[in-house]
Amino acid sequence: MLCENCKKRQATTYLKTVSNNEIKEMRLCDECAKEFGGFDFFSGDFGLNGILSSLMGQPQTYGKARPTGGVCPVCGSTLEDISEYGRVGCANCYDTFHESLMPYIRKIHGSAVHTGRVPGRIAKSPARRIKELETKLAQAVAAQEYEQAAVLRDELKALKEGGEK
Amino acid sequence: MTGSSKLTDKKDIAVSTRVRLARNLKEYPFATKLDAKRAKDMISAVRDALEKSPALNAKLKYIAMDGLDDLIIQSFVERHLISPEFANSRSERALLLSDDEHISIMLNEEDHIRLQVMGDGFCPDKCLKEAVMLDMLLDETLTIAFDEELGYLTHCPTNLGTGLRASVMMHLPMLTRFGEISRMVADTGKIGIAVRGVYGEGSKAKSDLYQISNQLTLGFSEDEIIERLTGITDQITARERALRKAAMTDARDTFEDRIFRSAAILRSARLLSAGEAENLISDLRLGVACNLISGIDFDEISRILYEIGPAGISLKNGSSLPPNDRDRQRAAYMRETLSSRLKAI
Ligand SMILES: [Zn+2]
Ligand SMILES: [Zn+2]
Repeated sequence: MLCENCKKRQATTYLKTVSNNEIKEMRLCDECAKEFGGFDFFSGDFGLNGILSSLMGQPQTYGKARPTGGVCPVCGSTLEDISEYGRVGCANCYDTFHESLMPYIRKIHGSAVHTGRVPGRIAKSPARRIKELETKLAQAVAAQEYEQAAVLRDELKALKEGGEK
Repeated sequence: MTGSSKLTDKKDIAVSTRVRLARNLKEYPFATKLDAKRAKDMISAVRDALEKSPALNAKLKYIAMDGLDDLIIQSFVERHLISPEFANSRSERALLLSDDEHISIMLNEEDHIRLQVMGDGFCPDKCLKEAVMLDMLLDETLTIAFDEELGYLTHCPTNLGTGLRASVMMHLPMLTRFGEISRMVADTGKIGIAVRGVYGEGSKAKSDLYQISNQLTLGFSEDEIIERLTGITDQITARERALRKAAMTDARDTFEDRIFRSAAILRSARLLSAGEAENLISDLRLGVACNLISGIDFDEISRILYEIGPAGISLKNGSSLPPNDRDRQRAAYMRETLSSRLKAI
């Protein structure tokens, strides 16, 4: 496959760019890739650095319908700030601007549901433990592992009653 | 090197593995909104966490970036311990580094905490395990920014979710020579894995090295990310090995000739630019992988590659050197390191 920039040499590097409000994949040769900034593991964002500004800065999403989402009470960021920096101002910004940010996040990741590890304080929370046990219980029942299901049911019951006290 | 270790760590092809976790403290704004005072406080908070954890404290030493010499900082970049961006602006920034340098944690880079674990050869499972262990120790005393839906909250939304970037650096001289890299780049992009050349001083990918990394961090568990990366690197490894084997049988003379010529230049040259040295070292590594050359192992070759950058060579000299002097020093270093050791098999 030829480089999508110069169309002369073989492509050796993959990266992403934004054009017309869409994320575009690009495959570049050594020389063009070097021009685009080469690869740095740390910033390893595949050309997506500042993607938020490119996406949010598009006239078709802004323009008249440009959201006036207010100000983050924690860091003072506005949507304009986020668009300018291409990054949010603080953890709370994800709450404040949830509705405005979610479409972009879905566009970047193709999904917006975290399924990985969680911090200790959340892993230990009763609500999370109950959710976990309920999933396991459903799986045990489906697999007809009734002994296992009984143990899980008892544990769930104890946990729920404990929470009511 | 035994056959079995070659299979698991794939050192004939995989040079090194890196795993990075991006984390932020809930109580502090992200970098663009963090003033100098709060940045200092943030770093102190992490230092406190370090002091409260004997396990962390024993492993890591604290280094304030603004107290470091330029050349040392540049060599940190060449050894992949810090990002070039981290080297550019140093105030209110600090590094936690393990003695053997396989763990490096940048404080106040793009995210408050950028935790990296590196290993030789192919070892993403091992690196992830250690990164998670360090993360859990930090998590004991620090409140890490997290959301049930979005996962670990990061400055840039591209790192949301696991905050995990796993990357294997692969040596692919035959795939490069046969023009197969481009197909690989096209195929892997579709499934969320990115292949990128590693660019050094020369115009082509440095020493035929490529980084294979996961692109997406949200919507997959850590194990799924590593599993997928492993699947792809297995396929690439098999293809590169097959091409090497074919060259050894079908075109043995030209294949060997190139490798031994490169080894001879490395052992005798008086001037070596970084770009030329990188290309020759690629042939040397291929020679060792194909059992044509002995007397040096893959880890030593990786070390040489990290040490022959402009800052690395200057450091050996004790002070900054102009390019011409560096080329002379680099050639002298290669002769010293290789001349008495390399053996043809
Ligand atoms: Zn090109
Ligand atoms: Zn905010």
